Amino acid sequence: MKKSMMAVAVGLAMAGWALPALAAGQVVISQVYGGGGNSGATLRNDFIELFNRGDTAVSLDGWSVQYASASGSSWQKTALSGSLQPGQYYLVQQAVGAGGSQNLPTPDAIGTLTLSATAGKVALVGNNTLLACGSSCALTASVIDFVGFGSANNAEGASAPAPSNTLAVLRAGSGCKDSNNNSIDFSTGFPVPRNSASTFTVCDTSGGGGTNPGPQLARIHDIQGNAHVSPLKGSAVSKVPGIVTVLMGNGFFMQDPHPDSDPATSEGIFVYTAAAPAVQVGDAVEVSGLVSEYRPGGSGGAANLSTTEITAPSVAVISSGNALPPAVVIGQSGRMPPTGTIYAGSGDVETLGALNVTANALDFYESLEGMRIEIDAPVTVGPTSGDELVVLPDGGSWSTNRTGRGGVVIAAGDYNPERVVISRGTVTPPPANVGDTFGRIVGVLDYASGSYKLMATEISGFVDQGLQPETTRAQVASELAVASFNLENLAATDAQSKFDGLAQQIVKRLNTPDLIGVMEVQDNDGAASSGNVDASQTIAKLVQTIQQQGGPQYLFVSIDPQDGQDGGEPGGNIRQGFLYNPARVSFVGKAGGSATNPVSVLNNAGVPALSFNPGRIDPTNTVFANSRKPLAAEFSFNGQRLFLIANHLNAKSTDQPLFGRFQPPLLSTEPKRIQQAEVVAGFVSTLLAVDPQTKVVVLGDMNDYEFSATLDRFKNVGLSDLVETLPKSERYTYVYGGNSQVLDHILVSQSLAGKAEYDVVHVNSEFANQNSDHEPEVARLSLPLPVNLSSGFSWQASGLSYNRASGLYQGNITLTAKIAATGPFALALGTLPSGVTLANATATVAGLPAIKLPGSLAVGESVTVPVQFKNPTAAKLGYSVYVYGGL
Amino acid sequence: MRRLQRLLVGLMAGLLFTLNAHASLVYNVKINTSSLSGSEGYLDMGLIGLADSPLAKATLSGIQGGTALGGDLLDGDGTAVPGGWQLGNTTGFNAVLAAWQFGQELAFQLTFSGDWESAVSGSGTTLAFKLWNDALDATLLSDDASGDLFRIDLWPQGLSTVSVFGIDGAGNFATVQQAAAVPEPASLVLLLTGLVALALLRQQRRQAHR
Repeated sequence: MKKSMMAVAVGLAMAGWALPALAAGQVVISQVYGGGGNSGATLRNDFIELFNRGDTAVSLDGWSVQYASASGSSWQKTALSGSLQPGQYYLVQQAVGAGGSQNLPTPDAIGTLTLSATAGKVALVGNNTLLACGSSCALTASVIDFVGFGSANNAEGASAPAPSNTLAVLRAGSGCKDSNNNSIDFSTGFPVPRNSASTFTVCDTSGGGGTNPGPQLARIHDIQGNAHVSPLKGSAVSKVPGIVTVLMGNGFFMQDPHPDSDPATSEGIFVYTAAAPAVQVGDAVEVSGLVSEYRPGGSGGAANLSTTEITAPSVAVISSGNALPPAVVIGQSGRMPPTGTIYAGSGDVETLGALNVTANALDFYESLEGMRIEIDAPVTVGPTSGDELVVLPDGGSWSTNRTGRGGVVIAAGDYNPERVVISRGTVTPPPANVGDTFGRIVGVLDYASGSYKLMATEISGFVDQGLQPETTRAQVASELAVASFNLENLAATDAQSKFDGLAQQIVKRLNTPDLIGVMEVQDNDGAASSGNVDASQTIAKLVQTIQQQGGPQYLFVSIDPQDGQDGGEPGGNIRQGFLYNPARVSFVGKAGGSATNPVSVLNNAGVPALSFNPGRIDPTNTVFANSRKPLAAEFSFNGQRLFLIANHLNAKSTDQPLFGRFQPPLLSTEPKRIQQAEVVAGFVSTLLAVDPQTKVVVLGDMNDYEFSATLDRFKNVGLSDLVETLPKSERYTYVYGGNSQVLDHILVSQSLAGKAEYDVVHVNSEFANQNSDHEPEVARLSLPLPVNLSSGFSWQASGLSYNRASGLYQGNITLTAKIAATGPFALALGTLPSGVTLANATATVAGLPAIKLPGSLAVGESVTVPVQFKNPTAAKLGYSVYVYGGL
Repeated sequence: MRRLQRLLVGLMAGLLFTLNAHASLVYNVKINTSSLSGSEGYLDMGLIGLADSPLAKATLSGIQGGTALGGDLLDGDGTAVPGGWQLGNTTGFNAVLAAWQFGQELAFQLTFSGDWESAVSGSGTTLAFKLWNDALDATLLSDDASGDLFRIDLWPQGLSTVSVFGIDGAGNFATVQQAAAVPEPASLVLLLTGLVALALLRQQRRQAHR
C-alpha cells in the first residue's frame, strides 16, 4: 500500500467525503493474473485479487478496481461492494478467454476487463470514478493501492516482474508484504485465486509477512504443472509436502501422497541436495527451495528433456516410516501409454504448451516424471547392457510388431513408445535376454541420455525363458552362401574369448559361408593411436580360430585405410573386408587399389570388370570423409562372375533422441548416409549399364532401416533388399533401446533376386552376453554349374536384317531338340566377333551372353529364338551356339 | 484398323520351300504405296548372312512406281545395275539406300542366285526390304520389330522363305510372289517337292556345338 490509512483518511477528508466507518483496515491488491484463457493457461479468466492485511474490517462499497494498459491513460473499472474482514481475500473475476479449462472459484465481484498477461496497471480506487491519469496514477489521492507490472509506465516504486499466460504476480507473504515497492512486494508464480471463502491469512504486526511468509506454498503437482517445464521455474517454494521414495547419492525423490485429479501433473519430484541426503525412504518431509529444471548430458545434452527439481533445499522431516504413495501401474491395470505416436507436434516441446498425455507418449511419461511406477509381468525386449534392460508391460500382450522370439520390431512411424527402460536404482537388473520375464518391476521414473528410465527399487519374479541362438542351414554345393557380419571393433588385442565366440558363430551357427563381408575389423593394436593401420594379425587370429573350430582356411581381401580417416573408434582404423573360402570361391586375381585410388568399372566387350580387385569406391569423395569407404571386389563361383560391395555407412550416433526436446527428432546423420548410398548405387548402375544381368551383391552395416531413404537409394537402381523377403516380425539385425531393427543388409541385383534365400541368424543382439552387437545375415544364392546340353540339340541360324535407326541386327536361331529336354534352358552364343554384343541377352551362362528359354522340349520339337546384335563395326557376324540347362 | 498382318507367302508348303537347284529364284514384288503417294523417303534393301553362310546374290530390277531422287548409298557388297541394284552377302553389311518419291505402287523383280542353292549346310542369308520416311527415323508400312516390309530368307539347298509384314493404307498386303518358272511343274508336284524338302531340311540341320 502506498500510504498509511492516515494519509487515506486525510485524502478522503480533503475530498470532502465522510470517512468510511471501517476505514482502519489496509486493503491491498494481492494478486493480478492476465493470462486467463490464453494459450497454455489452465484458468479461463483473468482476475484481480484483493486482501485485507490490516486488523480491521473495511467496506468496499463504492470502491472500484481499475485497469489501464502498460503505457495507457484510458482506464476501465469494475465496481466493488461488501466488506473485507482482516485476513480475508476478495476475488474480482475479469474477462474470459478462449483457452483454459478451469473456472475461477466463486468470485466476489465480476467484471469484464481484459488484462494483459504480461504488462499493465491495476488500481484499487476509493470511488467509482474512472482515473484519467497516465504515468502518475500511483500518487493520485483516490488510489488506495496500485500495481504496475511488466513494462508498465507507473508503479509503486518499480514495476512488479512480468507475468505470463501461465503466471500471475503475487504479493509476498500471501498478501501481507507491503513495502510500497511493487518490484519487491510482488513475484511471479502459478496463479492461486483466493476469494472471500478462502482461508484467512492473519498478517503479523510488522506487516512484513503473514503466517505464510516468504516463498509461496506449493504442492508437487503445482511445481510440475502440465507442461514439460515447471510453471514455477525459478520461483522459491516452501513447505512442499512429500514422502521420500528413493535416495540417490545427491538427493532424493519424493511424492505427494495426496495427488490432484489431473493426470497431466506429476506428483513426484527430485530434491537435489548435492551431498547425500539426510532423510530416509518413508519420511514425510516438507521441502523449501528453488524450482529449477535440470537438463542431463551437459553440453552434449541440448536435445535432452529437462527434469524438474527443487534445488538449494531446506528439508523438514515431519514423520518417518510412512507408507510410500502407491505406484502408478503402466499397463492394462493402470495407465495405458500411447503405443505409436511419440509426439504429434513439431518443434521444441518446452515451448509447445500443455501436455497431451493420451496422444503423445512423450507427454505421457513426462506426466509421470519422478513418480513411483509399477510394471506388471514385464517381458524383456532389450537385453541387459550396462545395468539397463528394456521391457514391455503386461507380457507385451497389447504391443504390436512382436518378434517370434519375444522382442518388438520397429515400423515406419512406430518406434514402440510403450517400451520402458529399466535402470539400476536401489536394485540392479539381472542379466536378461530378450523374452525373459519378471513378476513385476517397481521404480521411480527418471530421465537421462534421451530416454525416460525407470530406476528400479524392486525387481521380482525373474524367469530365464531360455532364448537360444539360431543356426542357419548349410549351403548345398550349388549355392553360394554370402554373409555380412559386423564384428564390433575386432582387434588382435581383444581377448581370445571374443575370437572364440565369433569363430564359433561363423562355423557352427552360420555353417561356414563361402564369402563373408565383415565390418569393424580394427588394426593390430586396436584402439591404440599408433599410426599403424595393418590388420593382418587381427585377421590371422580370426582365420586361425575359425580353422581351430573346424572351419575352412579362409583368405581375406581388404584395403588398409589411411590412419584416422575412416571414423569409428579412434585409433582402431576399422575397415571392411571379405573372408572367402578358396575351396569354393575364386578371387579374380588382379592388382588391388590403394586407400585413395578409386576403383572403376571396365567394359570388356559387354562384360563388366573392376579396374582394381579389390578397390575402394570413390574414396576421396567428401561424403566418405571420416567414414568407411565402400570396398568392391570381384569373385567367381561355378564359373559365374559376381561383384560384391561391402559397406559401413555413416553411423546414427549423433541423431537427436526419439524422446528428446525437439520433435520430430532431427536425423542429422542421415543426409551424409544418403549421399554415401547414392555413390554406391551409382557404381552399381555403372556395372549394370555394361550388362544388366551382372550379378551384384551390396552388403554391410548400412546403419539404416529397410524403410529408410538411405535404402531407397539402393532400391532405386534395381537392387532388392533381401531382408524384405522375411516376414516383418523377423526383420531385425540389431536391438537398440529394446527396438529390434534392421541396420545390416544384403541387397542383390535382379539377376540374383530370384535365386536368393535369406536368413538373419539371431545369435547376438538379443543376448546380454554378445560377441558383437550385430547379427550376422546369410544369403544363399542358387548358382549351379550350368549343364551343357548342346549335343542334344540341332540349330539353324538365319541371316540378318539391319535397322539403320536402332543400329540393331536382327535374325533368329531355330533350336530343335534331339532328345527330350527339361527346361528352363539358356541359348548361349560363343565366339562372337570382337565388339559384337548380344543385345537381347537375358543372362550370362558359363561366361557367355545368353537368352533364357522357359519350358521344356519334346523330341523333334523346335523353338525359334530371335537374336539381336550390336555390331558397331559392321563386322561379318558369326557365332557358335550352346544350350545350357540346370539353371 | 491397323494390325500386324504377317503373311508367310506360300501357306502351301510348296511355296515355302522350293527346290530350285538349276535356275535362278525370281520373285515379283508389288507394294501398294498409295498412302505415301507424293511423299519422299527411302527404299532400303539389305542382304546379310553370317560368317558360314554360302554365297548369295540378289538383284533388284525392273523397278516401277514413284521417282528415283538419286544419290543412292551402297554399302558393302553392293553395286548399281541397269534398272536396279545388285547385292552380295560377302561382307558384314551389304545394302542399298535409295532416295525415292513414292507413287501409287512400287513394283520390282528380285532375282536370287549363288552357292546357297546347292550348298548342303551353313547359316541362312536374309534379304530385308524396308521403306523409310524422309528423316530416316521411322520405317513405313511395317509392324515388324526390325521394321521390315518383307524378308526373304535363303537357306542351304536352295530353300527360301518369305515373310511379309507390310500393309498398305487400304489394308491390302504387299505381295511377294515367286515368278512362274519355265517349264512350270504341276502344282501338286511342287507341293510334294516342298514337303520332301521340309523333311530333308530338318534332318540335315547341323548339330549344335557340344
